[in-house]
Amino acid sequence: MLRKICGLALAALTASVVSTVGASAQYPERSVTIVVPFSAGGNTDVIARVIADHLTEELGQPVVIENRGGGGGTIGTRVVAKAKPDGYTLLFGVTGTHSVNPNLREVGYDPLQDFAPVSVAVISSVLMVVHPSVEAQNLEELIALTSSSSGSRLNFASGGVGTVAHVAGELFNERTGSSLAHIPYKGAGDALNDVVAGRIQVYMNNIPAILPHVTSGTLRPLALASATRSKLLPDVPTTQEAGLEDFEMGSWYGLLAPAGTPDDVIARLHEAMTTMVDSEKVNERLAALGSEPTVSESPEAFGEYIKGQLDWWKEVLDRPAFH
Amino acid sequence: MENLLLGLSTAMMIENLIACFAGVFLGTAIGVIPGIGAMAAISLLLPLTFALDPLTGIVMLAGVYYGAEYGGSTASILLNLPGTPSNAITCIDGYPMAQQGRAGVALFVTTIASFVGGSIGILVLSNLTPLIVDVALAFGPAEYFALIVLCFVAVSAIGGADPKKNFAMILLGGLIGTIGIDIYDGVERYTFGSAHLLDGLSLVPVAMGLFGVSEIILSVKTAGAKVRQSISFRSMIPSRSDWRRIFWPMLRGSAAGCLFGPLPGTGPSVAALFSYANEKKLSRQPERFGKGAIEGVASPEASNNAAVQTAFIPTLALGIPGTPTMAIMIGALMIHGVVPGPLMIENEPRLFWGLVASFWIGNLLLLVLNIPLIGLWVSLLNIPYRYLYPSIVVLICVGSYSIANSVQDIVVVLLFGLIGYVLRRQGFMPAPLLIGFVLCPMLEENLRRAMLMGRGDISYFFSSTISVVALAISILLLASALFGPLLKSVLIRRRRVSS
Repeated sequence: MLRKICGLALAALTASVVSTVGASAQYPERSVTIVVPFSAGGNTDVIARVIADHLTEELGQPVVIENRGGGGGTIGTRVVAKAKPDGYTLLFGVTGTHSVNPNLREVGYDPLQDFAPVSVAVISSVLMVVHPSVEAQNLEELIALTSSSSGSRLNFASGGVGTVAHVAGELFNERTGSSLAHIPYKGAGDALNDVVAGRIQVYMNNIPAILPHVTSGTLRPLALASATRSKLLPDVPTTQEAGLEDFEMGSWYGLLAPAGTPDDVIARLHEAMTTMVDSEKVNERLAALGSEPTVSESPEAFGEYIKGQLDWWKEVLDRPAFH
Repeated sequence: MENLLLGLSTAMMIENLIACFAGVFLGTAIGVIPGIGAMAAISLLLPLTFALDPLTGIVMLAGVYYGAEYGGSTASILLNLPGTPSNAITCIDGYPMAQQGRAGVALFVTTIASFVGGSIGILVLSNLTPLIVDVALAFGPAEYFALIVLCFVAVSAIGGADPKKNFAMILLGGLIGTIGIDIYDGVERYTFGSAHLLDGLSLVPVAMGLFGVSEIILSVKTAGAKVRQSISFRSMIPSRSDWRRIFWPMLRGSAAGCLFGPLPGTGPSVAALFSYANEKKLSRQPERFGKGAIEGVASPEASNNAAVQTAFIPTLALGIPGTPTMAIMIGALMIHGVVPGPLMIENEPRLFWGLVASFWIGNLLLLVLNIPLIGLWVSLLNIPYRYLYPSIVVLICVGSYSIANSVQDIVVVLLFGLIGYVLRRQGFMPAPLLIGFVLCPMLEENLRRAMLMGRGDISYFFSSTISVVALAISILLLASALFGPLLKSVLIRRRRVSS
């Protein structure tokens, strides 16, 4: 009996030694978990599952999603920050977890030091829409309207303080001398009810939150806050084309590993991500969600991008409109 | 009609029938089990549906969702433990019925009421969707505020005999409901620096702790005293006077469910609370409530089933989820590239009408499934409590954990079990606390939003017919509650004087 137990223990020990050594040799050897720091079925979760399916095909091992919602993404992000850096626990990070929350409160992790970035997956730009009851047919007319004295009667909505919709609205006020009133909601879904009903006249949020209502004609798109037009809405001009310079913003979704993850693991993951751009399946599935796949040139480039975003949001959130 | 035929032709496909049956069967089962609710089950099942056709997947998830409302009242009636939060109110009269040996009748009535409510909900969903969408869109913050005020006035009658204690419980519930980030200025309230409290406490662990765990702790002292239940089919059939009593309450409950179901944020829990309170108000013998009044079982159960069916209206027709469970449904469709929204019914008629047809099939299945099962559920009471109760505590903890994979939610369940125990020992009722927890945050959110939209002008609350009517009814109800007894005593005195 004793011999049996000793034998088992020895076997387990050998197995574990082999697996740690082998981790970087032929990663991945077993299933990989991507932690989504939001609840199942939400926007981030749905995008993450498309990416996970793609990675499963590329890596030859199941890539599974684990939802760890709570605290606006803080809880799940913290879990990954403290996870073993072996490449088997990854994070689907977003603007909220890595650019906004660390600027607003103590989150219990360092968005730069605690993570090894892999690649961005989706960058979603802000689309400016108005309810059809608003007369403005283009951005120029909207600015003329909102900066006039009657503009102060108009509202814009957001899914809460520090969300991209809130920041877009306040920056719009600042840049155009308008005084749209900010009406916060518990989330983009809640806000949509009042936007569609016309109690909120102006709405600036990521394309996915609005797209079905733009295609159905319930809301009128005016401009996209991006350097280039979107394939999904080819007729909608960029803010620059529409006459509003230097007004580009949006949200990003990307794959990160805990800091200390071996470089070859990161390289393998990045390689698997790059094929996403040419995958018809991924393009099709993301298009239905109002998104397009994007991949960072290198993990370092993604690190630079995250740092740039963190600084941009810090600068923005320090403005008086957000205090 | 043509649409429904198209729907039936797709819903009757064998894989969709199997999905529907699997969904409603699982739904009933998890509804019966206290603690594991539709939300937990749907979160767990979601990945499974990615491999299925979108219609098959959503038919199954939806089946779990409305199936749980059928089963949810079983434990409320038999054990005084609600299966899901929206069945909590059914405990108040369902459990006394069981103690009087009428558990079979109560379960029979809930099944019938659930079927009636569900059917009316589906009728509204398939015939009045455009109208309901307009109604839902007409509800802005002022209208919501007025409606919640009306709810508060209506449900204030729920609870124990002492109004002061009920009021204290509503306030306590309201305070607990304010935990988390204030959405208007990002201030953290009562979070003590913990990230787990940033989003506030969720309804399931709070309700399960208050009603479920506290009941189990309380029963430790009294367990053993069992009431013999007759489980013959005959004994379950309600008497003629029962049928007369439940007819209108079921219809009124269904109507309330159809109103609250499609409104984002309210849903089946508020619908059930409101219907119960409404019946108590309308009853000629309100003193019977709390002592096994059959209307107090029929009305809320019809209401929450009507609400779960009509909750699909804003979800599918606007892409706006009214409850967290509905948000998962939207996710399940989006992963297949089906985007719920104004064009969905037009673009995906097969999917929309297939789903509606599957609701009919599912509700019929539930009716057929549940009546024979009543005897089985009642006989569960024969399991000694020393085995039954510990298993239920485990299930409650598992259910609360699996919604968000959060260990903290287990702590919340147990903590609220203790709080509920202490409060009930002191003669405070958990129902008003739950009412405060659900309604106070909504009241605050809509009050502040209305004041923002009205730019601080109080007349904004009287700017629409809906809010004026709701506020007027609230004032009338309040006045009748305050001055009604006074008027009555004056009248009696006069009569005495004249005689």
